[in-house]
This record gives sequence, structure tokens and C-alpha cells, in this order.
Amino acid sequence: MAEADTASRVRSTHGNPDAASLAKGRKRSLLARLRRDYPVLLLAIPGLLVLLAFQYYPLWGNIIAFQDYQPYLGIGKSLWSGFENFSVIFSGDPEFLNAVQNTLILTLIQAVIVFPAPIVVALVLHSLLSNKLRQFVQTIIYLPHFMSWVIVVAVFQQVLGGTGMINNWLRGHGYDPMHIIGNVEAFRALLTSQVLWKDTGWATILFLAVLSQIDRSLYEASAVDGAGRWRQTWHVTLPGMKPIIILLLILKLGDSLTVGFEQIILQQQAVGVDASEVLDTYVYNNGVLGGDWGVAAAVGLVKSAVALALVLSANKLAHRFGEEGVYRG
Amino acid sequence: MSVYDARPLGRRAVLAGGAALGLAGAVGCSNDGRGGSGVANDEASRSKIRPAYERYTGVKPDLAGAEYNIPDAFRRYPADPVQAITQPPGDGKPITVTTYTNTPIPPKLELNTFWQEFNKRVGSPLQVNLTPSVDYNKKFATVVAGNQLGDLFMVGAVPQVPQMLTAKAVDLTPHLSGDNIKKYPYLANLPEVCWNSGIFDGKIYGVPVPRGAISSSVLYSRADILEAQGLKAEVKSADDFVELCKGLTDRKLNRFALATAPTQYVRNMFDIPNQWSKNGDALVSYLEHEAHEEVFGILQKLWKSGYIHPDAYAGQNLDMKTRFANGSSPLVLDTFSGWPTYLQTMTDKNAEIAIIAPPKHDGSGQGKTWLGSPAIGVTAVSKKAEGRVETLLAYLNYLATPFGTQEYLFRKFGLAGVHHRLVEGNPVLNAKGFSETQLGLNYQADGPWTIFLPEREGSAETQFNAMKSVCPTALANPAAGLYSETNTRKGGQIGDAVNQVADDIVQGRKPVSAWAVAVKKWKSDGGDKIAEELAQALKSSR
Repeated sequence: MAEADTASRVRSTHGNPDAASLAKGRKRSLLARLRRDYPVLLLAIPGLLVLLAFQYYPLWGNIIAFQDYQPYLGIGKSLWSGFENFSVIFSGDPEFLNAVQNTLILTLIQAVIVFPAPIVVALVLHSLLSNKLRQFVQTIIYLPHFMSWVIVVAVFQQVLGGTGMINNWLRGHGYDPMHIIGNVEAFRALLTSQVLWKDTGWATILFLAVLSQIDRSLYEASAVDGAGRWRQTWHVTLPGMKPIIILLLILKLGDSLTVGFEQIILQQQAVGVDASEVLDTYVYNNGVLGGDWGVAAAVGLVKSAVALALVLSANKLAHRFGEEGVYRG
Repeated sequence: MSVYDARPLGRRAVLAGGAALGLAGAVGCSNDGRGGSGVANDEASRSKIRPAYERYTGVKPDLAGAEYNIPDAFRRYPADPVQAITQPPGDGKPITVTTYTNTPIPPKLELNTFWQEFNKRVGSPLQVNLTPSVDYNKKFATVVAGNQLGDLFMVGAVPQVPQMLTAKAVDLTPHLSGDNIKKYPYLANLPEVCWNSGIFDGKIYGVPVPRGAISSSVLYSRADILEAQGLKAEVKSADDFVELCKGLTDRKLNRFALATAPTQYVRNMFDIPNQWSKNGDALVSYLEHEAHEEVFGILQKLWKSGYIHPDAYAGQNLDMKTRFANGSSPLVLDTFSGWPTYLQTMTDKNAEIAIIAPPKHDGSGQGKTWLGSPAIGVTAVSKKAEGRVETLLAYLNYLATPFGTQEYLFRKFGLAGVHHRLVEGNPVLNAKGFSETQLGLNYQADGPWTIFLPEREGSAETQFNAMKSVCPTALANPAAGLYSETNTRKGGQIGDAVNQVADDIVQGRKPVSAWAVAVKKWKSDGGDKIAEELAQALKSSR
């Protein structure tokens, strides 16, 4: 019996040597891998601490979504209020709905215009023959990324404002000035153009890197098959970029309800709350400004939950279409 | 004086050209939420604890203002200022302060000789945490939540002020009530009425920063520009005012008569009450005044004709000062206390400042300005610093030393030859002095305001006379200094909403008829409750 047992074990080991060594390897691996990788792990510690301190620890703060929170009492002593704070969301508070509506519209605009823009720019840059020219253009369009929103908004104000460069010139030459900054109708276009100006260049970096990874021989082969530029773009370039585009799209979905808090709060007074309130400014205006911390936290929490759900389901969807997505779970 | 002292305007209030002063308590427009009596604050318990008043009589003003309920004015700084305090108030340990500012942040300690000297004289290193006044309430809320209040802090307008003070601040009653205050003689010199905002539930929780008439909002004009255009700094009716604005606007030069929308000024033409009016025992909000349709009619006209700076609704508080200083908007609505800073920061050396009193809209006399509140805020002592409460009060006492003392001279003008030069015995702040003295000292504690404008001969008289002509008939806010929980909790939000509608109407985005709807909403969203609470507080304060 014992013999048979041993034999079977030996046989099974034989039959699946990989599994055995893997099992063995796993047992040993933690220690061994630690010994092997510890310098790298040490290097990761500061980043991990930052992540814990600024991403995970603040999650505790979500508790105030279930409290009648008063700053001077703190989380410890504020009274519990159950789901009362969430009633704003479910009872259809008009201000909240207005914020949701503005957020969704801006999200849509960003998905349709802002997201594809760097892809187009990257394709155009990639097709430029002169390396020098390409680098020159790249440098110029990167630069605005490094300016803070305060500066960007001020620059737009100086150029397009009521007494900005353009309007001063118009008035000086007897024309009627254009009403752009502070014009409710133009506000979304203004926001979008600011985002485009600031971040399109920066976002092209990733796409350009991907473009340079695409196998040259594919282009040659397609050329031999008689493909023109458009055909090559469609059948070689875009498929090559697809994984990264999908990855970024999924990540973007996580941010989709976060539309430019700083950018909007800086310009909110000019156009008023009706046109400019989005979820993030709603949370700020009601929580920090209005003292409704609990309600603000509840809205923020729901927003995060929705974003998480979006990312997870988008990732699932990507897997279904045979893509890598963000991760394999 | 190195003091610019507009009341901390709220986000919207700035836009409405200060129209919302006092309305939006929670965003810091008013003193209503900034302090004042709680529900259990009746006169009986207040008078028991009320600090004794002992007026400082060390100097004799050139122009006495008491009769008109305005500050005294001085042409010269006393030649031999008295030393008011012999012992430095500090205990050698740092004093941390959380407050706001209306001027650019000063250079850091290592580069700031005024600050270094100040620390030496105080006997403790001062560490200030300054926030622009428009953002102070937001900052304050987060600082309280993060438990980061300084040893001394300006009480921001946040919900549940009395409860917050009970939890976070030291009860100063044993130190300041009755004759106890005489240990701090310059705090005893603060006008009696301003203590209202420091007393909560029968306890003293804060030392008021006094202002009063000096923080009334009025229309400043650049008299030099008016003169060059052949216009007079005098208007007799609303039509006159529109004409004046027309005459001052020059599109080709990019000059627009008004730096911001003159909402409050036009309201003054119709005698609209200062925040609240009494109707028997009840309070009625100025928002409900029937003249508003006409007010907006005038404002719409001004905006449509391009007499208001096109960026009036897109800029910051400081922008309007710049526009006035560089002449691109020769009219601006600001508080009387802004005068010194306008003189100090004027880019055009030939600039002359004059006040244009509001006329009655129909030309039948003078309109009514809104009188500033007795105090712009109160400074409390943090519970964390309870053991040092006497040191901290002595420090505030130092900051409250009045005009005519060495301490005042140093506090406002720094050192002779370094921060100011002497012109006929008067200290005139130089650029270094102006930038280095901005430690927010006048938003921690201050003596009673004094009109003293050494920058320009004759300015003191000009301001004194302007105040004399406007303030005695000015309308006071009957609820000034009173506390309403709903006001601190929701006043800001609903005030923002109604002011937003006002902005929309002025800019022609909404019809004038939208006003009545907005006011109705304001009332049902909390306005009525605020009126009720303030009326109750007013009743029990009598």
C-alpha cells in the first residue's frame, strides 16, 4: 500500500514535473525572491508609504458620509446619521441634478473631443518626415502642460477677456468686442479649448512611444501589397495602438466624473453656478463652503463608487473583446 | 497706515460690488455670523460680564468725530509719542496666529526687518498663517477640522459658532469681564458696542477687532480724472450718475467708469435698508424691498452701455483696486478704510481721491449709505494655548495700542528711515515698509480706527468731511453682531444663489422679473428662518 502510494506519487510527479517544481518553487520562492529582490522592494517603500498616507488613509474620512459631521467635534464625536446624507442623491435635489447634468455633458465632450485629440496629433507628428520639425512642434505643444490651472486661466483671460488682448484691439479699432469669458453659452467650449491647449501635447507622448514600437516591416509588407497611407493607418498603425488606446480609455472612465475641479472653480464666478457646477465643485461648495460636510462626502463617495464600477465593467468588456485591459483578475 | 481694510468680501459679494455685504454671512461678508449673541445671550447676562470701558485720553484729535459717530482725524502724528507698554508682552515662546489678509503676503522672516524687530519688541516670535480674506471661511473650516488652529485665531463664519468656540476656544470671561479687563488697558479702550460680537451664551470668547463707520462702503472717484474730463464729483440723481459714467467711459482708451457693478450704491439711492429693517418685532430682509426692479433697471443700463468694466464679474477683489489705481476705472465701490491703501498703492502720482455720496434716485436729496458694523471680527484664544492665555491677551493688548503711542507708530509704520520717511514730522510708508508690515496685525487686534493719511496733505480732512457728510445719516444694520445658526449654516449658500441671479439680471441673462422669484426661493430656503432667528436674538438683546 505504502509502496503503491509512493509509486503513484512518483508517477504523478513524473507525469507533471512542472507542477511539482512549481509547487516546490512557490514554497521556496517567497524567501528566495525576497532575498533576490529586496533592493527593489526597499526602493518601493517610499512610494508605498505615500500611497498609504495620501490614498488609503484618507479613505477613513468617508465615514463622515454617514455622520452629521462638525469639524470642531471631529469624526470621533460627531453624531451618526445613517443614510440621511444620501437623500440628496435619491430625492433628486435640483442643484445636485444640475451638477450631474453638467458633469455628464462635459464628460461626453471630453470623450468625443479631448480623448482622441492626442491620437490625431500623434499620427500627424508621426507622419512628419523632418525629425527636427517634429521635435520642435513637440516641445512647443508639451509646454502648457507644466503650467498650473491658475496660469492657464489667467492666460486665457488676458487674451480673450473683456479687456484682453483681442477685445482691446477690437475696441481700439472701432469694432464691437467679443463676449467670451463670462459668456454662459461659450463656457463649455472655453473649458474644452483650455484642456486641449494644456494637455493634448503631453498626452501625445505615450502615443508617439507606441507608434515607434510598431514593427517597420508591417509597413513595408503592406506597401508591397499596395496599401496607401490611409490603408496603412487603418490596418497597421491603429491596430498597433489599440491596446494602449483601450487601456487609457478604461483608466479615463475612472476619471470620467472628475471634470476639471480646479479649472472650473477658478472660473465659476464669471458664469455662475447654473452653467458651471459639476460634481466636484458641488462637493466643495456644499462641504467646505456650506458646511454640509456629510452630504458632500456622501456625494463624493457615490461618485467614487460609480467610477469604480465603470472601470471594472469596462475592464471586463475589454477582456470579452480579447484585449488585455488594465489588468487580468 | 499700512492698513487696507475692506471687510472680507464673499465670493459673490465681490462680484456684486459689495452688494451682498452682510447677507452672505457664511461666506464672510458680514459680521452677523462672525460672532454675536447666541440664543441664551440676553442683555442681563451680557451686562454682568461686559468688559468695563475706559477711554484712552492720551491724544487730542485735530478733528473730533465722536459727535458724528465717525473716527477722530489727525493731521500730524504726535511729536513725542508715549510709550504705552513697558514690558514686552511675550513669554519667549512662539505665538501662532490664524487670520486673514487683504494685502500681498509679506516677505519671509529672514528677509523682513520689520518682522524681526516686531518679534523683538513683542518678546515672542510671531508665526502667522495668513489667508486671503475671500477664502478665509473655507480655510477656517478645514483648519478647524484638521485641528490646526493657531494659539490665536480669527473666528470664521462656520456653522455652529458657539458650539465650536465651546469646544475649541478658551472662555475669556474671568480675564476680561467687568474691571478685570483693566489689566489690559488698551482692550478696555475698545468701543463698548463691538464686544457684542465676542460674547456668546453669556461668556466672552473673543476680542473684537473694531471698525464701525470706517467699514461703510462708499463710491470712490478719481477726482483728477473727473476734472480732466470736465466732470464734477457730485451727482444729484440716478440719471446724473449714469451721465457721469458715460462721461468717464472711453472705449478707445479701454477706460470703463466703474471697476465693478455699483449694486450697493444704486441701492443706497433708493434708501434700501442695510441688510434688515425692523417691522414691529420682526425683521424684513432688504432683498424684499420693492425698489429692486428699478435698481436693476439702472444697473442693466450701466452694463449694457459698457460703463462697467467688462471683467467686473470675472476678476478678483484686488483687480478692482488695480483698475482704480491705474485709472482704467475711475469709480470704485469700497470701504472708507481702503483709503490709506489707495494712497499708498496709487500708480499715478497726481491722483486725487474723492467720495461721491449717493443721491436720491429722483433727485430729491441725499441717498442713504450703509453703516459698517462695529467690529469686523473677533479673535479667540485656542484651548491648546490655555496655559498662556495671559500672555496672549497681553499680546492683543499690545496690538490694540491706540494712535499717538510709540507702539502704534511702529506697528503701522515700522522703523524711521527703514520703513518710512518723515515728512514734516509725519511717517510716510515706503515700498519696503508697505510690503514688510503686512503681517495681518490689524486682523488680530486693533485700536479704534483713526483717520490719519500722512501720504497726502489734506487727505485726512477730505476723508473726515466725506465721512461727516455720509455717516450720520447712514443706515445701521439692526441685526449687526447678532448670531443666527441658519445664517452661518446656509446664509452663504442661499445668499450666493440670490446674488447669482442679481449678476445674471445685471448682465442681461435674466429678466428683472427673475428677482422676485429668486427672493422667494431665498426666503423659503432659509431666509425666513434667518429673519426669525435674528429677530429673536434682537429681542432678547434688548
